[in-house]
Amino acid sequence: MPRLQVLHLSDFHLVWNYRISRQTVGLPVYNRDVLRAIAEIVYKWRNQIDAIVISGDIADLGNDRDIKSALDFLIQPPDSLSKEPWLNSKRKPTIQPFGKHIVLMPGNHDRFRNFAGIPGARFFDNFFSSYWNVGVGGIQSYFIPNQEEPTLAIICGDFTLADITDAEGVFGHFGQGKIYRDRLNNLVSRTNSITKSYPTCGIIWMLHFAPKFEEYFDLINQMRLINSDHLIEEAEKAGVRHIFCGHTHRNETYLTGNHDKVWIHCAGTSSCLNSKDDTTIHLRQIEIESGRIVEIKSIDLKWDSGQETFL
Amino acid sequence: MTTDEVIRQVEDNICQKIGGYSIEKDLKGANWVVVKAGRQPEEDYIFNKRLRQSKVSRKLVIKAYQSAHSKWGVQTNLGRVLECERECYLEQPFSRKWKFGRLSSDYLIYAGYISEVWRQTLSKTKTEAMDPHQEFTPSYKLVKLIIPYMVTPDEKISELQKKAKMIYPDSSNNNMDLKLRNIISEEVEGQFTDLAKRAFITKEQIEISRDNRFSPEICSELIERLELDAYNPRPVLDLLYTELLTFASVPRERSWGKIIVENSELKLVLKENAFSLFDLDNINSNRWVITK
Repeated sequence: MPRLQVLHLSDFHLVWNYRISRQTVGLPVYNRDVLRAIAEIVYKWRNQIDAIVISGDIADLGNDRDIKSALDFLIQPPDSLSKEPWLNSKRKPTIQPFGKHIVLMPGNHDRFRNFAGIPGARFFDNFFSSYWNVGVGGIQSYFIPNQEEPTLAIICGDFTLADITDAEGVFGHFGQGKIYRDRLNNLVSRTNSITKSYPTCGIIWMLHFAPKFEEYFDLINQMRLINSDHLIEEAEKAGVRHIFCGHTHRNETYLTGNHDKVWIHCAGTSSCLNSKDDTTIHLRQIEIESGRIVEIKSIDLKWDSGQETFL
Repeated sequence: MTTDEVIRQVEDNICQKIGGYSIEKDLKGANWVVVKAGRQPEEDYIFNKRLRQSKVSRKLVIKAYQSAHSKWGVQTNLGRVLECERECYLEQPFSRKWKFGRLSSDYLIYAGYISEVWRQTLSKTKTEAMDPHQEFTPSYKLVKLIIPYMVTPDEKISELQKKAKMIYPDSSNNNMDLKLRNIISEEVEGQFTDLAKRAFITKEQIEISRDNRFSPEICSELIERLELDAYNPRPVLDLLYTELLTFASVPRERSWGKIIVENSELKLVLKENAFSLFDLDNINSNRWVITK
């Protein structure tokens, strides 16, 4: 029975500068020691992990500077002379040595044009084009280990707001996502196509937003995924049993759907440190048989500041 | 001693009780730092006048206090009828408003409201200053000093605050100084742990300080970490160094070893197996969360 091991990360909120100033006013921002620890873990586990999946909010803003800083974390070459080969020559962390699949997608912050939270920024699509090439609202599939004989397909759907007017309630545009019918149809259609073409391949959906999170846990209206019900309904019909997501900065795993058939694996924030956040990374072992995901076993590793690593 | 001096001493000499300062709760459960100070001659004038008159005019009170303490504009009877109240202009570490009350013929009470968060910080620093596991906490002086020496963002902090409030409406922008204090504490502790880890991995000695100041390498890292202006970081680094030297005069234990002062220099002492990574090959089966 094929088994894959993936590292699920989310919500880095990388910035190009003014980390402390932003943090002081309560904006979510990465912690540099945490980021460095992630790079070290990725380097040391690189032979034991099949893929890294990142469910959005890699940058804190969708402007060119923050997005470029986020990209640097993925592609900057390490200092080849260093005894810490997960750091570049300026001692900045990088996961470039990983060398295998990195599955990623934009979150709401990656699409912010500015601090006012106006959605629709395109710098993410420009800078991350080798990872995400389907634009705003796109659906993209990743095949692991490869497209010729995939064991697992992760289908990512960008449900960030198309326009500020699509939000609901006051300041909803800052944190809400929306299940648009056309995008959902695309997602379902892609799922059906992959199921037909690769009958032995397991399928996982990945979004940034956590569907129906507010039905099980505390979540303010400004953070919810609008029309979550439609997504879950279609997931059940399509036989998709597992959805990866992030956004809430809370590590939760819950079962939802009319027939309680869809597991939501909501990742905590990988690199922000706030008292209300779960600073966690997640190791997920995925077992697949005859095109069906039999089980997913997860370990949630929490940040330990004393040891400066995740345990 | 003026109240300014008292407050400064409260801040700087946290292990000592100055003028009987204590933390008390009022009827509504709010926390007050209460300082008993000797009564000044100008204050005698106010209270003596009250003995002769059934009611003291507010104007007279304010004028007297303003002449005696140019920064003060508040007078009230603590716990009794409010005569007048205005915000205090004095710069002090914790509170925004100070009230005065007459404790006895010899003493006045100066009481300042503090939030629960600051009360815990103050209590903690009072009782755990000698605790070897205590994390470094920058003084109020250092926190205030750092702000003008930090690289200024493109947008003003006040604008960032407004936007943060919009994005996260339930977040609080109160206690900015406290937030910054916590962030600095986190960053300095992070710097030490990073140095320890680097020494552990590379097996190389890392010089933290030399001739009563940080080594050049550590200076660069702190400048970047605290986002200081690289052209003028000296005042912050000097004060930070002084506070760290005082802090580490009591050996501070960490999970990876210790922070100590040796021959007047800051040093790290590492344990043999100071750092370890989560072992993927020996995972405790109880840790798996299984979803089928």
